Amino acid sequence: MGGVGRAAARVAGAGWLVALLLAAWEVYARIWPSVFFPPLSEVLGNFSRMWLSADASSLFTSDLLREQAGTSLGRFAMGWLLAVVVGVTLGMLLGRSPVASRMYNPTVRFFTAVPNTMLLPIAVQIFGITSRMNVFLIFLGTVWVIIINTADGVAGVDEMWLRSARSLRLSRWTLYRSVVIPAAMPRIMTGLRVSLGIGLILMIISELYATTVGLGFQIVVAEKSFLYVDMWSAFVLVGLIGIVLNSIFTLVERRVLRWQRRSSLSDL
Amino acid sequence: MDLVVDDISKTYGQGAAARVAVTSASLTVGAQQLVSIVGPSGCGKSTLLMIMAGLLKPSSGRVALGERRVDGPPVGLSVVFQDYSRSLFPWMTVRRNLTMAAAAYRLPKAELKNRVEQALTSVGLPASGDLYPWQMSGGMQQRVAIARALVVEPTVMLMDEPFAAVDAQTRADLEDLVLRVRDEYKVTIAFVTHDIDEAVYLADRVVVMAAGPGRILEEIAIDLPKPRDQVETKLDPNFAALRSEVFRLVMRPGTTQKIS
Amino acid sequence: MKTDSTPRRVRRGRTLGGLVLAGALLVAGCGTSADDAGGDSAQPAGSGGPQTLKVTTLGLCNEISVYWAQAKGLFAKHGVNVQTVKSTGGAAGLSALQSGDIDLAFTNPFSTMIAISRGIPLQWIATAYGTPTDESAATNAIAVAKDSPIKSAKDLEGKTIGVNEIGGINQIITTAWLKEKGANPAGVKFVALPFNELASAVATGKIAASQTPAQTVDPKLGLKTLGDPYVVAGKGKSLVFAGYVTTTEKSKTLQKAMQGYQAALIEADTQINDPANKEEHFTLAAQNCKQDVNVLKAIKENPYLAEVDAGALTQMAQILKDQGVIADPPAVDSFVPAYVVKTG
Repeated sequence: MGGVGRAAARVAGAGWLVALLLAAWEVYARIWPSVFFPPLSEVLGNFSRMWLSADASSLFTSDLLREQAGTSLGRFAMGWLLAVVVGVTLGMLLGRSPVASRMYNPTVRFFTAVPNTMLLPIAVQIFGITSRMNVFLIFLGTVWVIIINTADGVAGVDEMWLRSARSLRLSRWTLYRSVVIPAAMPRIMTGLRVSLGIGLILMIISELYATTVGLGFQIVVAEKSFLYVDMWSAFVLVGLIGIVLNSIFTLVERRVLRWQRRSSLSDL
Repeated sequence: MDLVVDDISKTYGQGAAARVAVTSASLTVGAQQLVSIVGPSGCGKSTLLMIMAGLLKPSSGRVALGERRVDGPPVGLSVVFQDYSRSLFPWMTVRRNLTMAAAAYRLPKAELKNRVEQALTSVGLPASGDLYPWQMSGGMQQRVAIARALVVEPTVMLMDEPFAAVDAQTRADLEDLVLRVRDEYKVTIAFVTHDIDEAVYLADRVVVMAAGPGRILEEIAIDLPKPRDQVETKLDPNFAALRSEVFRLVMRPGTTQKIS
Repeated sequence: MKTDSTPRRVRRGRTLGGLVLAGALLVAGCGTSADDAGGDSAQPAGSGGPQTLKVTTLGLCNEISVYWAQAKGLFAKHGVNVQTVKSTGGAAGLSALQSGDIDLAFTNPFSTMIAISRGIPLQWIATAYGTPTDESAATNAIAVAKDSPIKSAKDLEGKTIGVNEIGGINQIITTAWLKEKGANPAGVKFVALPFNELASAVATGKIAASQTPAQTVDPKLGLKTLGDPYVVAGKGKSLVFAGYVTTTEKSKTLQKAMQGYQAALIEADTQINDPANKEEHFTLAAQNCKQDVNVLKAIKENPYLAEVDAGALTQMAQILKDQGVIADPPAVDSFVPAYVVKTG
């Protein structure tokens, strides 16, 4: 089972640090045993019983994994993707319009300052005990950082590119699609990366209350039943999901921003 | 088609902060002529070129391309900018950069494809359409920028100090490239430079500008034989004389004296 | 506690996963490392002055016995010095207990028995309060909408019931109530909501029913009660609602102090239950739980008794076993020290 941890760490690109932490975990828990903090080896053994199966047709995942993680990730995907669409669109409007940005910037900054957990009771009031409540919280928690970064990126597009585009008499639509968005992409991607992390945390936090299914719910159930090994197994699963999503994002980012990396190299 | 600049002035800012960049500039670039605009820095030569390109609004005066007044980037006019790394789009391949230039022209697909390949061949970069600009040297990137200008088969091409950032050898190659595509595409060219040799070598006419405020000082006809040649032309005593005259105008605008 | 700090930590980091692990390690590491630092919170017995006991509190009005004993100097009288430590919940209290930060945790018997069955050695030192035996004294309710088609436990099959915490005492008691009333709890879903959301979630139709304090079942909100699940689950007996637990080790090393603690509570309860002290008891409770004293007077109270009812605990262990929460609940003798004063 250590192989799963190692493979995941390699993907993350921070292998040695993760490995060191995992080793420290094992050693610490062996020297000072506590039911609250079981050794890594015990957690990983439980991890495989809880989340994995011998069934190749389900990619070796357990029913519990597919049901709980599937629900959580579905909520995450809906909330985050909605935030990406809305955030990039609004960010572009804000970034290109000085009037709009003067009007809305204070609003955006206010909402980024509201701790998202405070919105949970409100979300429950609006959406009730449904997945829409979780989707809403993930959306609301991630959209602002996407808006701000997109707006900054769009506002900061090199004037030369815009002049060049203007001399080509590009239509407004082509200008945005082919010049403004790609030129702002480094900042947009920064916003998306940050929002990805926030979204995953909110996925868990929004499931600590007012839901009957999901990884966050599983963590609560395990904690309240004093099944700390289960709780840690869920933490490890959330961590792995984070590593995988982050790695996928890095691959996409590298592909999308290939031009930026290389041009900065050639400047040397 | 003639490109006519009629009494153009451009002032940046207002009131006490107002700064006159160009005042009362008039010139005509005749069809298929190559006119160099040369002058010290701050003489407003780039400002004038941007106004000619329709990228900058003049404070007064008018620019016309043939019969049509220029009040925005006109059809059939291409611009080659000084900083190729910031005018080509690095997120697009060379081919995509070229097709993007023709996007507003709605050409048939096959036609567009031919033009792209022809433009690349003309600038000496056949079969490099799949590269990205950042995979190329500076000189090659500026060739791509010229090819991008040629794709729309322009009647007028405006070039703003296009070779300021490349080495001397590459520069000479690119100068000859400009003369070649002028003939090949039968295009009218206005060429801004601060390099006097380059201005004289390329041009049918040199427009000398002076600073403070930016204005046109003098127009000098360059009657050197064609085709021009980097060695032969520059050995011509007439080249030396014209060069000296332009040099005097640029460096010491007060002490002008006409030669020839 | 994790929830507030983690997003900020991740915002800075590149690899979320690594940080979740790292953060988790840190949280756990800090919790357990207090083992060394916090172990001295209790001085060795017999070193002179009164033994100091750190006790968790949730700040509930129901914790009046401790407030009273403290205010009246009853702890000092019985040779202990009590310091209350604010806690966020029963499980957090047990965790602090394990780490040695505190000496007594305020929790419920179910959590205690489940924790013991998972290998956490705990001992029940004193009860805080019990549950009513008669519907006329109901302190809790299964709240449903007044015009709801749900008239009985049976109607709740396949529905969602709100409770304040998942797997907590209220969920277990509500499940027991469903069984007693002839409903099959297997298809019933429980959802956790903050206490103050439980009633309104039912009123607005977001959930079919809530297990909630009796006073929140306000007819003006369009709510009614299907009865107090604690009365039904008790089957005529007063169950143990909450109390104070310590580690098995401290139950031995600090026996004298633990005995003194329970004795002080027993004396406090006698005074609280004296009708002559009614006014003072509500005033004191109101001060400590920051409630309006008139509101408190209007609310029915759970019976206060610090003696440990072994029979009630046995009955509750059976409930856990019946529901399959734990297969083999601990025997009451094994987690209530012999020196603890018992009833029943």
